[in-house]
Amino acid sequence: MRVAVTHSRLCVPALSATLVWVSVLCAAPPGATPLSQDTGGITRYRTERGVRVIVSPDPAAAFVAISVAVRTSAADERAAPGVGGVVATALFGSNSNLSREGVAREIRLAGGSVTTDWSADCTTVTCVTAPSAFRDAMWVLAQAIKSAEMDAETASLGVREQMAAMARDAADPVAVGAQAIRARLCAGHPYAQPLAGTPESLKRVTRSGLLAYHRTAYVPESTVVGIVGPISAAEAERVAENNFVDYLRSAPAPRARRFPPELPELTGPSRAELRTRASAAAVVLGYRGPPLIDRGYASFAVMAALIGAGKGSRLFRQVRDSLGIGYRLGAEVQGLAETGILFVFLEVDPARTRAPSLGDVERLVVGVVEGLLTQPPTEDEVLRARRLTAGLYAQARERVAERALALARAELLAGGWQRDDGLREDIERVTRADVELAARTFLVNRCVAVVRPEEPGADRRSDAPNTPVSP
Amino acid sequence: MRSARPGAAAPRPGYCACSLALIAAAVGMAPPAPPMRLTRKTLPNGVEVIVAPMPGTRLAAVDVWLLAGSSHEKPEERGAAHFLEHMLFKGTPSRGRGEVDAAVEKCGGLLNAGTLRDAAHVFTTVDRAYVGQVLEVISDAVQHPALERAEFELERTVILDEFASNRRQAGKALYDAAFALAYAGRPEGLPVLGDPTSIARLSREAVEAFHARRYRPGACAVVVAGAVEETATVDAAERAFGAWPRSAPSAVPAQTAEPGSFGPFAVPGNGAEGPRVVRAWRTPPASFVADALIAEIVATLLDQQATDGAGARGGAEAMPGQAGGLLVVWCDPDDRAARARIEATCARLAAGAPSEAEVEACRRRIRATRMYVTETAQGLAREIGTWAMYGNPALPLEVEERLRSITPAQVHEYAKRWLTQGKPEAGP
Repeated sequence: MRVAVTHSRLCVPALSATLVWVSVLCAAPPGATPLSQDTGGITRYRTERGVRVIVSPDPAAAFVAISVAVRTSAADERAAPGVGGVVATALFGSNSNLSREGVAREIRLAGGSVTTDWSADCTTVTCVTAPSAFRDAMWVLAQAIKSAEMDAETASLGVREQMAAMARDAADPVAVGAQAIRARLCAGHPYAQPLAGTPESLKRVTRSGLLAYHRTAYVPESTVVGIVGPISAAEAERVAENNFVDYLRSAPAPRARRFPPELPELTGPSRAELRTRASAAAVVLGYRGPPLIDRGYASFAVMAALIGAGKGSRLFRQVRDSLGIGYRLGAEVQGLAETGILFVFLEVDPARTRAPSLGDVERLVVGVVEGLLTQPPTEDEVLRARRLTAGLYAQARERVAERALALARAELLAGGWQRDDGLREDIERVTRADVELAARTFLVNRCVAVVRPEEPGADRRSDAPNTPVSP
Repeated sequence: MRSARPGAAAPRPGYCACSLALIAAAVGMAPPAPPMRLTRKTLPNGVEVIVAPMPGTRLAAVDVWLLAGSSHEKPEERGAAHFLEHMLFKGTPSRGRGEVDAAVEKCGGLLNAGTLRDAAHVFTTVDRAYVGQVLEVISDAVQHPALERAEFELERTVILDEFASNRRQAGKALYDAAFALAYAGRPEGLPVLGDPTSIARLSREAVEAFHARRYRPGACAVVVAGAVEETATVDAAERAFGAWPRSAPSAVPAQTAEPGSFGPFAVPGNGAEGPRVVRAWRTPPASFVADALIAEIVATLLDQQATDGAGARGGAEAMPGQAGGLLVVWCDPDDRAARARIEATCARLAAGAPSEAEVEACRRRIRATRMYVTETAQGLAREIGTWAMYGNPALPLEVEERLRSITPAQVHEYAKRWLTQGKPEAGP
């Protein structure tokens, strides 16, 4: 049977092959003293080794989703940006119990889908499968989290796919601009690192480096399991306890693990011009905002929607509807554990007839965004932005996999799984005054990236994904 | 092929993802899904209303489909179907510029639209409380687009920017090249969006004529899926669409596809993606439902050959079409093993029936994919709407049973007729 690989930015090796259920791991752990809390149908449980398990039973669901989130801060990869991504792609190579082919066989028999995501804050592995395969799937996931071996073949594929991801990003002027902005707004902080790494850093990746990263970052107290589906809390907790009973690593001391420094103090606007191998050009703006856990995050998100989410937004109406500029444009908030970032972007074809100059586009976009400071929002605008933000939040949790992932991430990064629901409630309470305050507080220290297509004949080697022109 | 209406395409900075496996085994172990039912009513004016209630959600998707795709354009209308899709949201006599979108966004949904070769559709997902309001807004937009001249000229430049955005989507180039070859000289062979030259020349009057000719209640299906009650939803749809004066588009002369084999041909890379080598075959019209599903089974078998291997960049897809569809398989030009496996599989299927186990594995994968797609209200509405355009809206609910009835011998017969007829034609 074929294992389909779909990827937005990275891809892991195709695996194929039958699951062997190892019944010994089903044995109840001796002496477990779990702490279990049940709140409104969702339970939180801590295994004996310290793994947190959040279970949301849903009897109506056809499938069960298991999402394992691990706090893999980019701080751990400062010497080798991108290593965290390679580790994530290589989790399902060989492990201490099984060869690469054996893992593939087990995944195949367990069935369902397995998706790995990673951000600057965490790595998540989400599996969707049949309820009858729940135990098998949990076993496969736990083996990867506990004892992935980072075999050479799998790791090498991971590196190659990271390179391919970099090439894809380099062809997207908005992605190039967003990376430049994050590097500027978070200078000196691990968030500034390119998530996929650099061609140079990936060349330095070694198996021992991958193993060291895995054994350092993948520890029980940094691991949360979210489970949603037709599974009882008792069953989920028992299976999780069994599978993580031998997850024995502990986090290294703070001195050994390079904790991130503070985010830099921003003292004014900044601007970068870049060229990249895209056929389109883009203007991207960035502003630093509150982190995901902050109570002000909801206001920041609604403000972003007012500026650039949907075709009723100011950006869409004032630039595209009124002037006919830009097919791809909008605003998006990236919610990280230690900061939020508002990105506002507009892509144009600089070669088309009557194309506006990028300088004009930049002035337009800045005018729309920072116009919020001089032209306060109306009640109607805030109503639209608030309802749209809440609606999209609900739509992003429609699948069991999305709900399991959201619970695990909230528990890991936002101080508790309840925060996921709490943020929805916060969004629904945002007022016009909150948006005005968010604008005054966060629409400062603008960072702009203007990205143009590279000149004909420019260096197109794979190790030159983009070329800064003037910092 | 879809040309999604632009939204705020997110940069997704600082976020990576990979999906490791989509394995059909889980489907075999899954409990049988509760029987889903469709409520269908054809309004007196010809609009077909289809309601599919889903348990366990508060959301509902509204998806309005029209038989008004790029294959229905006249030569002077190239690009009109897609251009019109853009213009639907620029205002109506009762709603000013931006008010169509804003009305839906106040219900918590993003209004979006897509143009394909055979149809166009307008869709959103909202809390169930807003379904009636959204139906009213979409009804107004599709019936009464203002098509003001100044707005038309502004949107022309937006579409030209859209071409630039699309140039980095390797998939679009691949499909466009395959359709151009397989349906040369027919509207299906042309790109859905038109091209920059045709868009520069397209007149407002041509778009207006296309709207008048194709946007008719007799060619419209209103699909609502999700947390809805059937009777109330049908009533809401009737309130929104019932006053549309009865009419239907004139019949388009039926031109059905004959077997045809194309490629291998190369599609160059575009900076974001590397080059691909492509093989394509015409498939029977979508009204032949069994053949459409067999084409999916064959595509699944070929997909396995195209992607079986470390880091393979291949795939296969069967795309249905009113007058005929296309089966496409692609892989890395340097992956000679994949190319050989693809050709060998075609020859093997044409020479004899695959094993029952092979076919069963394909059935499971197809079911798994469909279950994933229809887990959301919008996914289910889209599936129903797609097949409503081909006269069979209930197909998404019948896939399980229909797949079971397909035998290995039928797969062999299909391959003998549709994968081997004629000498392959080289590509562009």
